[in-house]
Amino acid sequence: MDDSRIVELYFKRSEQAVEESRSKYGKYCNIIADNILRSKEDAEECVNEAWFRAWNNIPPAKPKKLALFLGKITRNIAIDMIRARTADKRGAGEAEMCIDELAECVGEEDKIIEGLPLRDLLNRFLAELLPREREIFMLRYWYTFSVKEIARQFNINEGAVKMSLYRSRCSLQVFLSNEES
Amino acid sequence: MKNSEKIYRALGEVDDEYIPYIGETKRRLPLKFAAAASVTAAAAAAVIFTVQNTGFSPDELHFENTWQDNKIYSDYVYEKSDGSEDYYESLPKIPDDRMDTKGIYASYTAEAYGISDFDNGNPWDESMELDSLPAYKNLSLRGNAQFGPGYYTKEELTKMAEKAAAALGTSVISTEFEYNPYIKDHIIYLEAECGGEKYGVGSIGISIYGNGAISVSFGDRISGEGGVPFTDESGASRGGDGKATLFLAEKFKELLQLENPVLNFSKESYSFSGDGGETHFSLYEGSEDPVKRILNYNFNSASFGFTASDNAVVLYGIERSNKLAAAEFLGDYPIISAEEAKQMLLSCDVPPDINGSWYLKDGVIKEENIKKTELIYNNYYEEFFLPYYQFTVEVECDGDWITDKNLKSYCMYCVPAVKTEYFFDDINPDLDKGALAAFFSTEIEFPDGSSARKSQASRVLPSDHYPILEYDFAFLRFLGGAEDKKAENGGWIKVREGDALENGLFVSSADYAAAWCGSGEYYQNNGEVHFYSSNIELRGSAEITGSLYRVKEDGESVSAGDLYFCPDSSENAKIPIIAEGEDNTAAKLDIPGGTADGRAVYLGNIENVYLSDYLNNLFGDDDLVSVTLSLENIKLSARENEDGTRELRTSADIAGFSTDDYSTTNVFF
Repeated sequence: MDDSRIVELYFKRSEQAVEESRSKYGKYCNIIADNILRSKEDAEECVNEAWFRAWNNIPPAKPKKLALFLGKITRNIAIDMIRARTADKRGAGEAEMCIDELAECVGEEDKIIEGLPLRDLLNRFLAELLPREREIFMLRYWYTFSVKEIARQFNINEGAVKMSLYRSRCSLQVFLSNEES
Repeated sequence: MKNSEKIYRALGEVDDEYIPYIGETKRRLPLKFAAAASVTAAAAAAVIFTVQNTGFSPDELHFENTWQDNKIYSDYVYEKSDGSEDYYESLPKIPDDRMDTKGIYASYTAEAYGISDFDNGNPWDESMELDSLPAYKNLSLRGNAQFGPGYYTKEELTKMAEKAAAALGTSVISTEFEYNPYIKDHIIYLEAECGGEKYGVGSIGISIYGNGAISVSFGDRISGEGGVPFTDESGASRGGDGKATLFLAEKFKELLQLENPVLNFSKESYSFSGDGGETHFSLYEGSEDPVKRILNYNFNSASFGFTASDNAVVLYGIERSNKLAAAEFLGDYPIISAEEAKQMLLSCDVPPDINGSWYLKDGVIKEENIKKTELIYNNYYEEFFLPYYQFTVEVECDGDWITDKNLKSYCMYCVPAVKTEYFFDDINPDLDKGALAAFFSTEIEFPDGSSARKSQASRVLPSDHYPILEYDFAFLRFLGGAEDKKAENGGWIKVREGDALENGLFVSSADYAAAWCGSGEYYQNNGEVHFYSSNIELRGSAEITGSLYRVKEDGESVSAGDLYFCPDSSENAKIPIIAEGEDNTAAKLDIPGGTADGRAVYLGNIENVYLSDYLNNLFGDDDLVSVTLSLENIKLSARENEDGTRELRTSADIAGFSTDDYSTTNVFF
């Protein structure tokens, strides 16, 4: 079914909207959740929660790109879950590794970035990256794919992926430093 | 909340255009290997690397070939040269766009504690007396790497999946195919679901990729009970002696189809803080012939994926590939020695700045900094599979992010082993090299299924995110060339200036352009080669027979009084058309003022133009009349608009009346 029709169903408060979303984007959302949580059961729970939140958010939200809208909701829920899980000391995963990597360029403190309009900054930063570097960056830090997974998707070696990510993180570091100063 | 977590979370809110939509095609079964590997790595303790002490030789694990009638891969071609001058003169020259450095390039950098961290099972050593080595053309390289390789047909992939399933004692229950949306008949992979009764697992997933690589994934994990226990010591997770891999080679010999498996090992690279460095084991087909041994090491291999589960190490998947089965043997090329390659490298003026903060010591490659020499084949997404001498050169890094100060930095430099005289620089010297580099795909796929290297373009229009390559040929097919008429009318014809068509028309100009789209609206396609435009001018005349139809009432996209010309496709097999639909057919194209389905021709509103007045005069009281129109000076063009829609435009002199450039008088095929 066309996305606009699915959104229309949400607006009509038809429960078929959830069924259609699940049918069309279930796998997609599951990949996002599974990448972060690395647990089939948790991923299922996360994606089920995503349908519930989508139901509550549409309307008033009227997403232009339903896939990314649902993907973002899923990602946020998964991050909350991994945070709770880490607090429970149930072990860390790829998401924690991503955060550790990002700490290389922004540090582990909790004050430096206060007050910075992060969303706008990141949009500008991403716009400056070369398309391929941007994609690798987003596959790692948005979708939480492992370095090896990304290497496979691009048919390049892991070293090349690490190098690309490293370059992008360095660029982010410089970008944020300039903004702070 | 930590800064890094704030960034990680804030990334979730960036604009949609920066988020590559991965659809359902990105997650492929082998990816689970990596996920599990990270868990395993985290769980495993440091072990002593003992593989060299296994005493294992290929003879100890020689399998009788019981799968002769059920072979998954065809044998690859390798024929030793006869050493004659005629043979060497007949070898095709290989295009290389790195000839300004004699084909030498820096491959990648890596951190390690010492050169022994780069030890592996490479069967090549400098004492081998090799005068020549084979070169191959990779037939599975299609379009850009984004969607992966494609070579095998649907039927072949299905057969391979069935054979793989039979080798695992099961059968295929269902299959799904993932297609490259931009290249016709390019299957990225097949996924087959099979029962897992034989191994006591719920199900078995078999993926066969476009280049024939097989990935098996078990629904439930398999323990090492009844054989070699899967432990760190047996090499199931990392380190160890690799006996777990050898045990599994026996257990799954019908699937692997390796008669003489040889244990291979290599270490993963270290992180900047010194993590990683795990040893991984794999298998390749052994051979008495040293060249075949080298080829098999690089292309014909298998590996097992282990993961930690409830404090036990278990098997969750198998990978098998034989890339040369999807490659064309070009010939057995004379090679230089490792020493000659080293001298080439030392005399080559390579840039001292390798990658950002990695530099050559003293700005040049010095012999004392070359720590290791190997012979390898480039076996990633390359146009040609060629032998290279890979030199591991110790370099410097001025970055303070390398937190473990005991780590050293290395860069891999590759020198072509094939003699330089067998390469040629095929870059058009007029092309802007920067723009060419910004066009990430190495090959362009055309509607007729052929392809060309980007360096063979006649023109390149530079742009950071939208470079365009233009070629001096284009493609047309004849009216009625939609998919259901393809057999009748033929497929796409590649035309160049000066070509004569069988309907008597001459091609006076032709060009085809492709764009690399990596930003804006297209970014969700992850950066793609897109059709950009195509133009063909024809001289001569052609007749087109069909019916004129006058619209009676206003309707969707039409108004009362509009005239439509509907050619009779059975009578007009040789009228040229040009089209670029989603699947390279001429079907269902949106055009201004109406639609064309590859057969209908829209002539515009009768109120506007002289020509239509002429056509209108053909009507009496009828709504439908049969006419034959004469077309001359036909211009065919197609281009992509900024909003991503595609526009077709054809102008011609029709029935003795010249059309002008307005869409109402153009003929759209």
